[in-house]
Parts: sequence; C-alpha cells; structure tokens
Amino acid sequence: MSTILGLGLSNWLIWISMALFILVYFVVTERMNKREEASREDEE
Amino acid sequence: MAAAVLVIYLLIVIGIGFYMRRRIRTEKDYLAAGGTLGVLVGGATLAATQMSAGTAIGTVGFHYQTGYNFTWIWLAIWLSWVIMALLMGPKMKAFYNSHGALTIPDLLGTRYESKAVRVIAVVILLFAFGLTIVAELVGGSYILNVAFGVPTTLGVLLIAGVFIAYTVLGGLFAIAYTDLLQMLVFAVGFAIAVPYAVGQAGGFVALNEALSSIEPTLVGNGMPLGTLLASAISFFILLLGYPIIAIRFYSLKDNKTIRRAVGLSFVFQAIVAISVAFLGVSARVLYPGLETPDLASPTVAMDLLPPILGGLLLAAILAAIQSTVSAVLLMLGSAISHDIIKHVMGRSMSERQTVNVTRVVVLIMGILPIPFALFPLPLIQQIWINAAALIGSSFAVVTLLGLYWKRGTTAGAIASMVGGIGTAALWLILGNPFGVNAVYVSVPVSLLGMVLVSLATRPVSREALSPFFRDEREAASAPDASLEGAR
Repeated sequence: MSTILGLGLSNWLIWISMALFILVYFVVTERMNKREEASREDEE
Repeated sequence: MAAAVLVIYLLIVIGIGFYMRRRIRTEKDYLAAGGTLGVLVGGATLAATQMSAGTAIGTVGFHYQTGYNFTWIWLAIWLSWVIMALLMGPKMKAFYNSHGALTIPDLLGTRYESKAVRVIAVVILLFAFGLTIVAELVGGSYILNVAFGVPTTLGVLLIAGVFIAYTVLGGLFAIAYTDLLQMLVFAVGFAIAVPYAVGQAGGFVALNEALSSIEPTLVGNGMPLGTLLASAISFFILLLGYPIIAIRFYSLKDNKTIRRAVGLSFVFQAIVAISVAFLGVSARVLYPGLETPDLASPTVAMDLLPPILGGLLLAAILAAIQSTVSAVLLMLGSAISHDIIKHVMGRSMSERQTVNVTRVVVLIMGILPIPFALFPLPLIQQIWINAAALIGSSFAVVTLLGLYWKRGTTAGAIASMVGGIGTAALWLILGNPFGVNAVYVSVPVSLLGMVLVSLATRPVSREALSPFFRDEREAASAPDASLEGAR
C-alpha cells in the first residue's frame, strides 16, 4: 500500500475530495445567487 | 477544573435562552426565528443539528475501531444536503413567505390537501424523534458518569434541564444562537484537543506508524469498502428531506442565505469530521485496550488532555447532544401545538396565546422522554440508526416528490408514508434479513406506494399545488381564460 507520511493514499483522497466538494459547491451556488439576483433585477 | 469549564458553558447556554426570550413576540419568532437568520448563525445551526452524541461518541468510536476511512461518510451526507438546499430550500422558503408555514407536517398537509397526512406525519415524528431524545440523554449522562462519576439519574436531569430551559424560553432564536456557541465550542474544543492528542501519540507520522503496527488497514481501508459504500448510500437516502434539517430552511432569510449557510455548515462539518477522525485514531494508539470504543472521547478528555482542554472537549460533546435534542424538541413541540392544536383541532388563538401554548407543549415534550432515559439502553448509535431508518422511509419520498411531481395525491402520500415506515419497522424487527439494510427495502416500497397509488387516484386541487409550483400559482392568479373569451 502506497503511503504519504505513513497514511494510505486513499485517506488523503478523502480530505482532498472534501475540500473540492466545498469549493465546487460555493462556485456553483454563488453563480446561482448571481443569476437569481440578475433575473430579479430584470423583473423589477 | 474540567467540571468548572463545563458548568460555565452550561450557564452561558441557559443565559442565551433568557436573553433570547425578549425577541419572541409571535409564533413565527418562536418556531422559525422570524425567518431572519443569516449565513453565520444559519450555517452554525445547520451544522450543529447534524452533530449529535453519535458524532461525538459513536463516530469517534468508529474511527477508533476502523481507522480514518469512515470519514468518506460525510461526503454522502453532504450530497443529500446539497439536494435539500438546492431543490427543497427555495420551495420551502417560498411556502413560508406565502403561507407562514412552520413545520414539515404543514408542508405535507397543505401539499396533499389532507389533515390525515398532517396527522400521520406528526405521529411518525413524535415516535421516531422521541426515540432519539432518549438516546441523546442516555449518551450525555453516560459521558458525565464516565468523566465525573455523576449518577445517571442526575446526569439525565441536568442535561434535560438545561436544554429544556433554553428551548422553552427562547425557541428557535435561543436554539440558533446556542447552536452558534455550541458549534464554536465543538469546533474549537476538538480542533485544540486533536493536535494535543496527536502530539502525545508522537506526531502525525509516528501516529500512523503506530496505527499500522497495530493493524495495517487502520491507515488504509479499515472499514471494508462494501460496508462503507452500503453505509454511505443509507446515509444519503435517509437524509433526503430529513425533517430536522429541512425545517431550518424556513428560518433562514432567503434563498441566497440558504445556499451560503449550507456551504458554511460544510466547513464546520469538515472541521468536526477531520477532528473526530484524528481523535479516534489517536485514542487507538494511546489507549489500545479500551473496554468499548465509545469510551475513546471521554477517556481522551479526562485522562489525556490538561483539565481546561478536557473540560472544553466534554463541553463540546454535551454541546453536540444539546444542539440536537433542542432542535428535536422544538420540532416535536411545534408538531403538537401548530399542527394538531391549531390546524387539526382548529383552535383559534392570539399570537401570545399560541407562543405560551407552544412553550407548555415544548416543556411537556421535553419532560416525557426523561423516564425512558433513566433505564440503561445499549447501543445509542443503533437507536439513532433505527430512528433514522424510520424517518427516512416515511419522509424522503413524500417530501421530494411532493415538491416536484404534481401528480402525487393524498392517497399516494398516505400509502408512501405508512408503507415506508411499516416496511422499515418490520425489517428492523426481523433483524435486517439477508444482511440488507432496512432503507434498501423500505424506501423503494415508499416510492412504489407513492407512484402507483397516486396514478390510480384523483389529483389534488390547483390550490394545493400553487404554493409549490410557480406555473400553478400563475395560472390560479391569472384571469379565467374561458370567462375572458366569453366577454
């Protein structure tokens, strides 16, 4: 089993996945927020 | 010193309840914080509601047994949350704004145009979540007993007294702001305790080498991938439309706040997820011979950490417990006062009377589980898992399909809820035959019941659909086309 600092690679992948998950979530939802604000301004 | 830290924390929490009491004027204030919560408090209360004795004791125990890789579970949980935030949140907030909705039975009763659906939802909530209050009280008293030798009865009364007090006084305002404090205590408590514990184990590399020498899979795939995947799928299904989380969307300011608060809650949850993993594996190296893995957290708190840090960690564990039970308690109280007394029985009350009645109901609902918690219950985590199976089996399908499938009918909803919980209960009683988790059977039954019965019965009216579907709303408010033509 390959390890970095004694820890298996698959476990490092968990933390990387968590960070990516949060990052992608914020990118996508901030775009949604902007689109929603823009459409609200159009309606007004 | 550890006890002093704990007492100070409990006093502050009660103080917040007293302070927030002044902000309660209406039922909306009491049950949904007036729909005004922002990103920080909203994110904290969402995350704190997810944390429980299961996280602080059970999950640490899982990591003690199996190493790091149980952390994957959080991604399955978050995926469910994303679906709730993006698909359910906006529709629930619109329903709150248009109809003053405050509970999940509110949503189901209105959408399916049925008092029976509302009552069934209330009964399921009372039974399944009532069990979880008992489990949390048992967990909390266990911690106090192990840490300070506090007798179980006194421990249960102490924990219950605190969370009942601040919930009765300050409603969701108190819960949300104590959740913020509790989340900070939890995150800070664990985040400080973990480096200390890892340091005591010789540092990160030495810790992993020691784990590997105990059992090589502890630094690899300690929990077999099949078991992990099955657990992850179960968590994902169970949390779809999970009432205790979904109900928070009413209390957040708007859609943007819902999305951001959920994102912030992921950050809080990530801190906790990584912390509990490290705490569990550190305990495995430092205390390899614990009688039960559930002892990992309290042992680290009392035996390893300096007294102030130990007290902070114990406060964090109690915080996790109280944030969950207070949220459950308010939800159950609102189910009786708002859904049964106000909507089903049709009692008309002033705002002040409604708040007072809700407070009394919340007090009673808080006291009721106490006697059950005085008897020793095994496997706290198992109670949660069973309760979650019952809840997920009855709410996931009716809530999600109710918001996105217009054809879902009253009879379909009843078949789905009763079929789902009935199957789950039977499967659990039979002891999960063939090793298959209850949700893998009960959720398909719930889905089939919903679809087949709905297709065979009359659709609900446009009025019932209009709070949840924009086109129905617009059609209902537009001038009647046929009348226009006749003119």
